[in-house]
Amino acid sequence: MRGALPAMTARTERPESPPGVTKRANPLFSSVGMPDAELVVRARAGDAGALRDLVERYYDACWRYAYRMLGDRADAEDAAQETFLRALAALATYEERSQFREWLFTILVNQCRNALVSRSRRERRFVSSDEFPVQEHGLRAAEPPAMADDELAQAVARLEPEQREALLLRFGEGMDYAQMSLATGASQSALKMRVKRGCDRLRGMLARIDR
Amino acid sequence: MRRDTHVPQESGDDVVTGDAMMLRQWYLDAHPLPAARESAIDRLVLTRAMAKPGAASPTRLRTLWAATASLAACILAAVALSSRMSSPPAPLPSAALSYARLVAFEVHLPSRSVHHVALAGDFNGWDPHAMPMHREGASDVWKIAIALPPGRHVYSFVVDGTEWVIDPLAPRAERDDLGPANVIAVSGAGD
Repeated sequence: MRGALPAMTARTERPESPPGVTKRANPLFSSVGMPDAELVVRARAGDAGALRDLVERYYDACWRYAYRMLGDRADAEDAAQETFLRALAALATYEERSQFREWLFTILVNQCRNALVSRSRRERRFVSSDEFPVQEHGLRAAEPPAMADDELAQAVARLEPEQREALLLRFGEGMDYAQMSLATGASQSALKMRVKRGCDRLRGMLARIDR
Repeated sequence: MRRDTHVPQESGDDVVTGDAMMLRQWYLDAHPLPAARESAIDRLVLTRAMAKPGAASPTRLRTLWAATASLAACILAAVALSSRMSSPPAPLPSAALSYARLVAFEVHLPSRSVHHVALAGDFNGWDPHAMPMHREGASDVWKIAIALPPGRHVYSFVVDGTEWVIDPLAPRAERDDLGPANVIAVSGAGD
């Protein structure tokens, strides 16, 4: 409980113009340059401004990975939002010695895998089981989704999900294999193989298109 | 250029940089729609900020959207408020920057050697350490935004863990049983 408040010893004054209100996206708070770990600490303490900036900082990256992985804007939005909801709910368990981005992507990668499995189940109700090959890990080969109408997008969409996942993290997000291993739970050697095979397969598909 | 040269060449850890850059550029060309992005972020922050500690695992937001429709009014109010705040001619009381139940507090402590400022009030048991405020760059302004339930809340600022100060421009609590304090009334989402 609070003790007796002393008489105010310093006059508090308002600034002429409240700082931090010019940033349209977040008029309440400005955290440019603030490390992720500090934002996390503030968000944990109930600072909604820090919470918002943390989401702002990584929303686009999460959405982009989900979109390139799932090939559908609505699914990407769902995956990104579910990822953040889970991450924010589990913020207390986040260990500051680990990188927030990799920790977040661990959740995101799993959300996208779950979305692919859900999509596979939905499609199974309508499509003959012989029409698409089943992958070793139980996921169907991704049906070419309605992503950007270019050949590279369609070729990437035809990759096995694990290969697409590895290529997007490696070349899209620029992760090294150690970071990819944290995000996916796969070994670095397995990831290198997925990237190599994904590149080979992609090259083959694009070469066929060229001919 | 042949199209197959767009594909990165992996050999161990080595990547042909030009090809990797092309794949990366394609990857980065995807962007969420701005309106959907802002809406999604607003919903995430409001949903999380109002969640009680230990709340159940969240549900999919696509279905949660209907349940949070009432929050749209809060968001619209926030947008209107932020546009008004873009050119504020007059100072506002510290608790006036409110997003319905998302409330921003700030205090200006000029010409002082201050290392730590916290917000304390009846909403956190007057704990002088529970809600540390963030210093706005190198300025003398300290800020924090928190979620508050509707109702009347009494608060004060704690400087360097020992000195309790109030904002003289914000409404003052009528009863000073425990010393001077400010007061804020938070309206409900439907008010």
